[in-house]
Parts: sequence; C-alpha cells; structure tokens
Amino acid sequence: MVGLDQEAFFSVKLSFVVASVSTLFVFFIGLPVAFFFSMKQFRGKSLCDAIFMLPVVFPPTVMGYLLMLVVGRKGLVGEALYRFLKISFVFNWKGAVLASFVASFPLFFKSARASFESVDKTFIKASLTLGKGKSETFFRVIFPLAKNGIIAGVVLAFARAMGEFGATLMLAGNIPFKTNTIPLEIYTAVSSADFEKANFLTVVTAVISISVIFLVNRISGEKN
Amino acid sequence: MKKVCLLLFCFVFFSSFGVSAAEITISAAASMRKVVDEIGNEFEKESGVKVIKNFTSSGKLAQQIVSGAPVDIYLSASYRWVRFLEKKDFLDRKDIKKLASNTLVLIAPFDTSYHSVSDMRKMGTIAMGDYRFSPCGKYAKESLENLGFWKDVDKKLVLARDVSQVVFWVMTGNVDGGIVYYTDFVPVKGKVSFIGSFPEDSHKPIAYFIAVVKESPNRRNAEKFVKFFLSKGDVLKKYGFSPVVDKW
Repeated sequence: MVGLDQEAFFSVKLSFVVASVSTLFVFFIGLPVAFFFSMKQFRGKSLCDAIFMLPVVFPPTVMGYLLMLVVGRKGLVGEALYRFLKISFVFNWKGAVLASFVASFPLFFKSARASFESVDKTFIKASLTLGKGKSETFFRVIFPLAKNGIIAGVVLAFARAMGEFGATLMLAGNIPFKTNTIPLEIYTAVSSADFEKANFLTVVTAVISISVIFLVNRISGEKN
Repeated sequence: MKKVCLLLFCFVFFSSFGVSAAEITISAAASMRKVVDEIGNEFEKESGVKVIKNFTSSGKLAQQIVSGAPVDIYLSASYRWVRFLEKKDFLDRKDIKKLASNTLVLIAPFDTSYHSVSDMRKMGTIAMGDYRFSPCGKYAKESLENLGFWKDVDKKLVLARDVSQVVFWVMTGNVDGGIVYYTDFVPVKGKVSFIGSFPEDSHKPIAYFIAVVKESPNRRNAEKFVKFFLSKGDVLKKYGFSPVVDKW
C-alpha cells in the first residue's frame, strides 16, 4: 500500500484495538452507572454528573496531566496499583486505553442517561405489576426502549476514542511500535513534514470510523 | 442595509491596516519563550510597537509559515527548519542570523541513584524529544549514536512532543532520565537532579537562528526588533543560553 510503512500499519491496528477496548469498558461501566443515575435520586447526584463531564470541558492535555498525577509511577493511585497489582498505565497501551476511556465516558454516559430517562415510567410499572422481575423488565422493556440513545452513545464513544490525542500523548507517550496510535502518528508525520503519510492516515481514520459507525447503525437498525 | 454593511466592511478593512502597522508577530521556538517574552516587552516599551508572540516547536512554526501564517520573524532552535524555509523561499539567506547556542544535558528525578551520563545505559526509561521532528531529540539521537549508547537505550526511549513534556515526566518521576537543553533545566533546578552534560563534540552545534520572514509586511519594525534582540546578550545569559552573534 502507498505510504503505509510498518509503523503506520502498526498504529492503525493499535488504534483500532485501543478504541475497541476503551469502548467496551465505557459500555459495561457506563451502562449501569447511567441507569442508576436515571432511576435513583441521591445527594450529590448533580455534582457527580458534573465531575463525569470534566473530561469534555478540560483540554485533553490537561486531562493527560491530571491522569499522570493520579496514575503516574509516583501518582496517588499509580504507585499503589503498581506495588500491589503490578499494573501500570504509564507509557504502554493500557495508558492509551485509559486516556480514551476517560475522554469518551462522558459522551456515552450523557447519551445513555438521557435515553433511560426518556423511557415512559408507566411501561416499567406495567411490567413490574404484571409480574416480570427487575432484570427481565430491564432487558425486555427498558433497554429496548432506550436502545437508540445507547447506541448513539457507543458510536460517540468509539469515535472519540479513535481520535484521542492529547491525554494519550501525555500518559502513554509516543513510543514507536508500542503506543503510537493513529492521531499520534499523524501528529508525528505532520510535524516532520511527511504530509503524504499524514493524508493517508487521515483517510484511514475516516474510513475506519465511518465503517464502524455505519456498521453499528446498521446492526441496530435491523433489529427494529 | 447595504450602506451599513459597506461602511462596516470599510471600517474593518481599514482598521486592520491601522493595527498591523504598529505590531509585529514573532514565531519562536518554545525553549526561547522566557527570553522572547522579556526582550519583547522591553522592545514594546522602547519602540511602542506591539510584539505578538507565538510559541511551539521550531518545526511546527515553520509549517505554519509555509501554510501562510502571517509571521514577521522566525526564531528557530534548529538550522534544519531555517534551511527548510529558505528552500521554500520564505527566508532570505542574508536575513538569517545565529544568535545563541545551548548545551544538551541529562536530568533525572530528584531522588535518582544515577550519577553520570553513561549511567543512562542502566536506566529503565528515558524521555527525549521525538527525534523525527524535535531539534532537541535530533541532537540527542546524534549524540547517543556518537557516544555508542544508542543501541542500549533505543528500546527504552519515550518520545515527547517537546522538551517541556520531558521535564514534566522527569519531575513526576515517571521516567528515570530525560534529555533536555541546559536552558530547560535552569528553571527547574530545585526540582530535578542534574546528571551531566553531553560532550559538545558528540553532536552538531546547537544553535538558535533568527530571521525576518521574506514576505513580512512589517519589515522595518521586524528588522528593528531583530537588531534589538541581538543586542540583548545579557538576557540570553540569564536564562542559560550562550549568546553568539557572528557571521556564519
């Protein structure tokens, strides 16, 4: 392929894996949290909501800076994580996943929460009074009704993860064949005046993102 | 309505002329930030010309100029990008002046157990500017190759966007060592350890260049600024640079 050297090829694979893993975590953590927020009232709810939104407000580099302070080798959490679990997020692909996760979580959360909230409560009550259990009500009534918003959230989260740059560069570094995701590779290419490579990778990002989003929309559309 | 629009257009159009006459824009390598700030402020006071400053890596700045950024003066941390702009006809050779030099040093977190530059072969992770575009990274790579360290450290390198990121990683203890300019070490003296300098002959001389951009509409003021800048060797020294004003 034209313009696609080994390093760029690796970055495409890496970005796809990072964005996918990040989106999986966003989905499985975000869904219960969003559901909880839409159904329950508790003290500090809007404060929590505001905190979840911070990554959208902060510039990504600031997010990376904060993440580094928290999960860095000598960070508040990072030191303990490494000592007890031997897990480190610094300068490896897990760091890239964490950066993408933090950046895309709020997008999914907002979208999923709003769609859970828009589910008509009478359906839920009807399901419960007609003898369906809580989990059955969730999977057969609430989830199908909220599905569109949730899928939109997944799409947003994946797209955001694909494009994550600032926090990734700070936390995962730019290590060839280790943490060079597509956005980092494009940055490197543009910085070193390798526009051919930059253009090519930009197209690749667009193609991957559009395909995934199209696929997700297609799958969700077919079930309707 | 049309008249109002026309009037508004004329106003914006002519006022933009008015403003540009009394200001100059300098694009400077991030490592020169403090120097440019200080000398820029002095120049503003003395001449009344407003100095607009734009800082990032030398390569990025050169890209911006090529893309048509309205810049009057370019201050680069590397000859490579000066040459790049000269070839693309954005700079005139006679306008390019060498103004300072710098030293490459190895720094480490404050609680480090390493003592010399050659110890870096034992370090776990080492941060430096990305040698594919950062001048500091290029010098570092060249030096490591000439010292015969490259093969030992190649796989331990974490490449940073710029020097400030290297300093941040070192300060927070996320890397064992970092290669930066001496001038980047000066402001964080009490927060990181100085391990040692790289031998000067292990890499090309680190030089900073300043030049008025060819198409500058404010050439007179820009040239005045460059002259003023070159006379401020004391400010350069204050921040750790070695001033060199010579023909080359």
